[in-house]
Amino acid sequence: MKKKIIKLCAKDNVAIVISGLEKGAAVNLADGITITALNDIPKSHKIAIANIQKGEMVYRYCEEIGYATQPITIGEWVHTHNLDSLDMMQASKKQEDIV
Amino acid sequence: MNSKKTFMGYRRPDGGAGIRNHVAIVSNVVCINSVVDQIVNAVPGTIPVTHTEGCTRPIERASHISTLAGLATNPNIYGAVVVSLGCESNPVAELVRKIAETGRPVELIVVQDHGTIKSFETGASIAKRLVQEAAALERVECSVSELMIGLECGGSDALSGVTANPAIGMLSDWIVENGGTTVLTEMTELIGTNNLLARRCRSAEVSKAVIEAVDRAQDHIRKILGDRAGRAISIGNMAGGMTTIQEKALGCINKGGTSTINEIVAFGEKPAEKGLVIMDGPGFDPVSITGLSAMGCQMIFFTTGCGNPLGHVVSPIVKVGSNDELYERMAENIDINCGVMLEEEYEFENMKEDMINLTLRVANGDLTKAEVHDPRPMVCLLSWNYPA
Repeated sequence: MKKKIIKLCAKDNVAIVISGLEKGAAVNLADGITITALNDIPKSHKIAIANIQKGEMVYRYCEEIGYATQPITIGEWVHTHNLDSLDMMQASKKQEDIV
Repeated sequence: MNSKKTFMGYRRPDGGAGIRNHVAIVSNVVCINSVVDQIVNAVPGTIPVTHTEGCTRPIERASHISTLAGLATNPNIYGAVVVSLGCESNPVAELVRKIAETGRPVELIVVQDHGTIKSFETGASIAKRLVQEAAALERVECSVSELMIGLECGGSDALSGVTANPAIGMLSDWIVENGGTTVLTEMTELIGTNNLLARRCRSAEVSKAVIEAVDRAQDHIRKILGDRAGRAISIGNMAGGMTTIQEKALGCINKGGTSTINEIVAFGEKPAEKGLVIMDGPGFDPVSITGLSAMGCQMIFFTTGCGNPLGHVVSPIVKVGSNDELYERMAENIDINCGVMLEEEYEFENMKEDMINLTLRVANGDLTKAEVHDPRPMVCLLSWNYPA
């Protein structure tokens, strides 16, 4: 039996769907939380495991992979329709602030 | 957890610890590759270092010579026969000098002095002597702190960043914790992760140098892709579930585990530091693994989701598969299947010990699948013309 979804890091608000989920499918996270898929979610795509506000950062590997372009509900498919990359210029500027 | 932190390796005159004991027959220019191949075919125990360069290309000359010297003085190499045409612009005397400086035996054959047949006969005779000398060496106990391991990914799929890359990340952390060295490269795959890199580097100085190297890679890509360079990932990546370039890059960086980045070196340059190091190099795997080998990596872990049989003549390549389906298709090319990490009851941490055991087995002499199926691939040298 394969895992249905994998949360890769403690801080993550998305998990990875291993072999595809149909809308309505209930899956268990390792820590006992049950999540119901709100969409059909393809193999190796992301599912929200927390509610994410518009503009809030999306975390995978405990790192920012982009921001929510609209509110995302737990169980929703997370991809290009609701997640976008941090602007590169903005990322570079942030870098200058750090160094 | 594995407590063994030694392997049986070959002690080199410059102090290095080899996991193989080859005699390298090194081509200084493409024109005489046939002589190199004939010597290698005639003398078991030798490996060919052949490539497509060696003349003209003045801006690449220094890089090519230092890369060839790096390959010929990798800890896995006992000694070398350098084969020159005679009139090529790659300065062969410099290559020979760099090899000799490490205390390794090295001999030069110049084909324009007496033609193919005599060059082959002389070269084969010298190579046979060197192989016999090499065979007299015995493996001695070496510490894992003497290992330098390259971390590469190629033909990645959406599961590479879930299973295979984190798996070698755990190995990388273990090697670093025990005083060894691991190397991340493929600068184009770090685009978009400046903030993370800044946090992970040992000092502001290292961080600045790494980010400059990533920016150079990005500028290079921008020439090809235009302004989308900083954000673009392939349609295949997106179909596979990747949404942003940061997400893709993070999956790649995972190969370096959670260790601090201690240093960044040029393509094929030997690091001064131990621990996790970055080599400034392209994303094209055959070139990338050449740089890793030239800088001294005794072995290279190469994760793949689609499958890739590529080997390297100097440094054994360990293929780490990301999924079961790949393993079913290409078992003879995959050394370890990380698809098992997706099993319901599997604890991710269990893979760490499997990776450590595999590392020690290969260090002790077990052949990798690539050594069996692709033992004599041509070496790809760095070219300014490569599209990153």
